[in-house]
Amino acid sequence: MAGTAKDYNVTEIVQGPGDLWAIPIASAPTDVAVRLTLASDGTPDATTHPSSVHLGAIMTAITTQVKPKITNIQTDQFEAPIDSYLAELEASIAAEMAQVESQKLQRVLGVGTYSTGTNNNPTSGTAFEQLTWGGTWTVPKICLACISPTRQNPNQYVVSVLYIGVSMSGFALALGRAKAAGYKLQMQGLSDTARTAGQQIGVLYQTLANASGGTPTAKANDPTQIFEGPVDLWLVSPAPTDATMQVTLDATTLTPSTLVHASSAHLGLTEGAVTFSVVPKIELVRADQFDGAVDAYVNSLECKIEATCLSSTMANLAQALGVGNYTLSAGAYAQCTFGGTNQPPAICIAAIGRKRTATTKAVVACLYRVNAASGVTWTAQRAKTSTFKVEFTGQSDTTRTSGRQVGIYHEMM
Amino acid sequence: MRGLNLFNAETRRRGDDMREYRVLLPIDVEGHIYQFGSVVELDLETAKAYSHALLAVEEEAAAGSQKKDGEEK
Repeated sequence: MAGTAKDYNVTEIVQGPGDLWAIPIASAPTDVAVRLTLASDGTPDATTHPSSVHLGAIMTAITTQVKPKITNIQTDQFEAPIDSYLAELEASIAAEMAQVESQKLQRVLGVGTYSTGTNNNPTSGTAFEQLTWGGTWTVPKICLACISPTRQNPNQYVVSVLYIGVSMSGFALALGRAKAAGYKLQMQGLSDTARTAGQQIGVLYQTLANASGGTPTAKANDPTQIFEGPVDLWLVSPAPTDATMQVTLDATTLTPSTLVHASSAHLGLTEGAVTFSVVPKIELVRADQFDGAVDAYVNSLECKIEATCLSSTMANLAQALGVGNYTLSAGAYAQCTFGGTNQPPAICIAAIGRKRTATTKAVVACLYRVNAASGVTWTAQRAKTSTFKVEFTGQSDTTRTSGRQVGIYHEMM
Repeated sequence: MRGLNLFNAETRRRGDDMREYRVLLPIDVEGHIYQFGSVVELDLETAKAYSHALLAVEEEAAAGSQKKDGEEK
């Protein structure tokens, strides 16, 4: 009697980078043609999948996860389950993205509004891109695909596809000198109720023939969009208006213009990176007829600018405390009193830096209306510098237009 | 940038390169915000600037008919 052959096959071991593609749902793989049509270079065929967008450089890995939640059917007569049933199926694609650029940030935020053009900030004819957020509750849906060449044959591919994906992650950027600012993307797959059972959420497959023909779609790997470098923290006063959404900068220093934001204040030296995050809480709509969620909505939006401040001036401590009361008597004292102030003031905070490869161009992250929330610490100690953490949490400014009620990220192009 | 869609048939400028696009991500074109799923009419130059967030309605229709055909390449 012959034995059964073992399957030791090292070619079956998967390793290698991939690319992420956002594909309009209208041009996504269909219920009949469930796989992507690839062009000869392994990119989505531009004819079959028009308007597909490459999501740029990836910091580390792209992870596709398909996770069933199985419920056991338990009976009293048996100690082990006698059967099971699928309660939910969650499919997601996650990655750490490298390119800090408005279009790509919009993709992971989902509920942000993108705009581009030219304006007078800081000089006439300055090209800009910007992303605003706050007041948008429709969650955009997109087909997301990861395409990775196989280790043995770069003309064949391992592909994962979520037919309808929604971004769950928002973005959190650590803007500083020590490390390039990456941000996590997580897209969750929804059930496409119009598709055949068994293939409603996505597909994972490997091509076994070399890709050929088709019309390649351009990739968007752009190292100049990778941000690394220091940023400064500013209290911007008066805040940008609903009509002039950007922080107006001085052309030479790329700091808040004293003409437009006359009462602005620099918050001094910071220790480590300034963290800027815009994170929507996306809730999923589930229907009992489907194992995956069928829709999504925005529950809330949490936006923060956080930093560790080194400059413990009384003015800075008062700003960070929020409910502190700052007084300066020139040549005599500066003080921050506290106790008895119930209503923290709303202020506008911005983190302003320069592009790594084009230092004459600024990037600005601004929250129009924040409260300081973390309090302050003041440490008298020989061994360590006294620092205090600031955490400014964005609020909705109800006087502004929907789509730009909370904040803006803008960059000179 | 040109080709602002005024959403007004009487005042809308129609050029040869004006086309309708489905909005895939919210965009603000010259102060007017278009939400996900809406249709906007833009000139080619403007559409290029917002290409990551748009799908031409013609291409959408073509993809739809391809879906019906069930053609798999």
